[in-house]
Amino acid sequence: MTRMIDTTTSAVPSAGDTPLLKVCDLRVEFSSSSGRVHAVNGVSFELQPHELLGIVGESGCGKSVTSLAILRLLAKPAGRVVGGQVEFDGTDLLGLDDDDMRDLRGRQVAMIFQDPMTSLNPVTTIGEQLTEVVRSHTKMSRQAAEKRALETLELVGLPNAKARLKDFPHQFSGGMRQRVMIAMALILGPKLLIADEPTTALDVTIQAQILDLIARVARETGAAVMLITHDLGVVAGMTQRIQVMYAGQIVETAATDELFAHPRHPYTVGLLRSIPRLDDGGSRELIPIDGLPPDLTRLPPGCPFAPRCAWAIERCLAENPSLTVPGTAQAAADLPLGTHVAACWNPATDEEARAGMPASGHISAVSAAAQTRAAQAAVALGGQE
Amino acid sequence: MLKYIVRRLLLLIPILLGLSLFLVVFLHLLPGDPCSANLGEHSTPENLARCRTGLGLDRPIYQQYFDYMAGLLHGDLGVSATNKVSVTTEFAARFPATFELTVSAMFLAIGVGIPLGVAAAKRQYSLFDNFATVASLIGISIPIFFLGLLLQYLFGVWLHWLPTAGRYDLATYSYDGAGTNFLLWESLVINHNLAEFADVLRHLILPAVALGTIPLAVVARITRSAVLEVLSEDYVRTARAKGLTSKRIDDRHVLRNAMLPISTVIGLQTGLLLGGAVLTEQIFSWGGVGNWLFQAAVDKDFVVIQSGALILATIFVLVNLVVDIGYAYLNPRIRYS
Repeated sequence: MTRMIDTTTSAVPSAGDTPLLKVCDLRVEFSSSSGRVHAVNGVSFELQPHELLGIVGESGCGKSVTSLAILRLLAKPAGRVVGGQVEFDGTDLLGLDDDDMRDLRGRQVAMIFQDPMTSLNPVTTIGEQLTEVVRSHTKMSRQAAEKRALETLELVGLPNAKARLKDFPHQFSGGMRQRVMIAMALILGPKLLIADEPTTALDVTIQAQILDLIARVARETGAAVMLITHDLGVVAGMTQRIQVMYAGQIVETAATDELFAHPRHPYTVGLLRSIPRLDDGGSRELIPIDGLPPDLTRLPPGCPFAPRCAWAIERCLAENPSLTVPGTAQAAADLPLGTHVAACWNPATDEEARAGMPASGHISAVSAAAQTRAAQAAVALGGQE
Repeated sequence: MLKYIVRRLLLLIPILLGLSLFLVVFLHLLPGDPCSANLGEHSTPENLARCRTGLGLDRPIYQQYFDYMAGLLHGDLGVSATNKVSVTTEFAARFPATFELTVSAMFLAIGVGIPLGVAAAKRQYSLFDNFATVASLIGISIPIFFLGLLLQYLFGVWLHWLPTAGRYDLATYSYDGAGTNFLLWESLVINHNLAEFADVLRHLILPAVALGTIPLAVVARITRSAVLEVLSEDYVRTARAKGLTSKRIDDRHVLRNAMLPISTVIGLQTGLLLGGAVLTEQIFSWGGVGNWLFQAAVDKDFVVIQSGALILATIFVLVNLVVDIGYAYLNPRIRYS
């Protein structure tokens, strides 16, 4: 299912502008029958205007919850923001009154969801679902709104758009529905587009088309994009910067090229090792990450990845690291945007990242199982060469 | 769509055939007939025989059935053995009463049940939701005869607010027995008499409440669960992300989808009520279909029971056909062909 990675495009984002979105120490909790789920635990990041940012992590790492929290769309009353700030274009979103927040959604910040099959209302026409966005945010007449809908559908490449305005969602294929979703998100020219796993539910053949479309329309409308995915292959060719999330925290962030070339956090190393690459001649074995993500109702005191980590040292079990320049104590908050930072006490070197295992010397008991497995994989790899 | 409607209507033929056959056989298997019921247990065998010959009950059962069916095909629903009035005439006179009662009861059930269910679903597990759940449980389980008598006592006997029997007050209403017998229509549109209209309405309230309580509770419960289900759908989240007002989300996205299961329940309940609410009509002396068929059953009036049952079956099928057509309108994914 994973796309082959081609890490040729992408530029370092321009730092120094006023950020479009600034998230500061965001914390989100869900109440559940088994206790409080700490879904997002102190996430801080910035997004520049026109920037394409990838947020990567496995299911349950808090990437979708972060985006829903930004738009204040968390399922009530179970989910709630328990700390932090979200600033969009200079406005404090968490303090905004409900009506202003409603007006901001769809007009300034729009969102595309994972499953286009279920994200469109089955009983109203596509035309109505598009025009209602325009009509509830502007004083545009019905005709003008329909004209706008038509233009947007043509922008996203929906064939025969005029006739299809009267069609219902079930009359479209999955890829076409996602085009409609994109059109719906972009119809008012938002400054920020949040795409939550926009290609996960689609056929592999359609995925690349949709990603290209998102990149193109974002460029044409000037929208910044937050692309959320569990698939590094999806963000590789498209985003300028990538944030890797694990257990509700950002564990590493860097420019896309930099992250693929020099991953520092063992989790990122693991993610990269578990997808196929075009540039290694196909000789490399894919290695899954051992174990499961931690129970978010009972987070360990140390680094949440430590129990699965081959690099783990004693300190990892006791103390949760914050984002710093790898190997130094320089905190991310003091550095310009786009600087490569990771939350790790014992970051991987380039050598180790290539090998997919730490150099000998600091192997702890916690990582013995993972270590054994990595060694076996290395033997297998050596045998092939 | 037209083909579908025709097919559904053609389906009525086997239903009615089967039902008529079943009724004729079943009614004749039961002890007693119109004559024994009419003449009483002390009548002489000669009188009974004469009565049976007069009604044609002495003929073989298959011949009675074929004669009855031949009459049906000519549009003749038969004549009551008890009062010699034709079934068609009697039904036409009584159906308007049942219709007005049913429509009022369903009006109440829909008008109160849906908003109640929506409000409960939007405040799931709140005090209001729990209260509504308990109330609808009581509404579903309360026996109509008890509720009817309670209403009569409370609002009629004790408070003197509302009349407890009949469809109109002879002192106010100058209804002369002509017209359609749709009294709401007659008083307002034909007679332009607001006092009459108000009187008819006042008479409708208690029976409509008694009859509408169960459908109200059923509609409220199904609405609550349907809305809860729709609220967790992805497209509702999409609607929120689009920045629509909560009123628009409720009306166009939540309710439009929740109406699918609700409309089915409303159709079934309406079909049932149109068959005549025996208990409600008895308690409130309502001259409707239920009252009439109940009496026919007591009198063993074979022809009235048979024809009445066939009419009710037809009405039930037609109401459900209308609901199914409405369903296709509500749900574009369904196209009958």
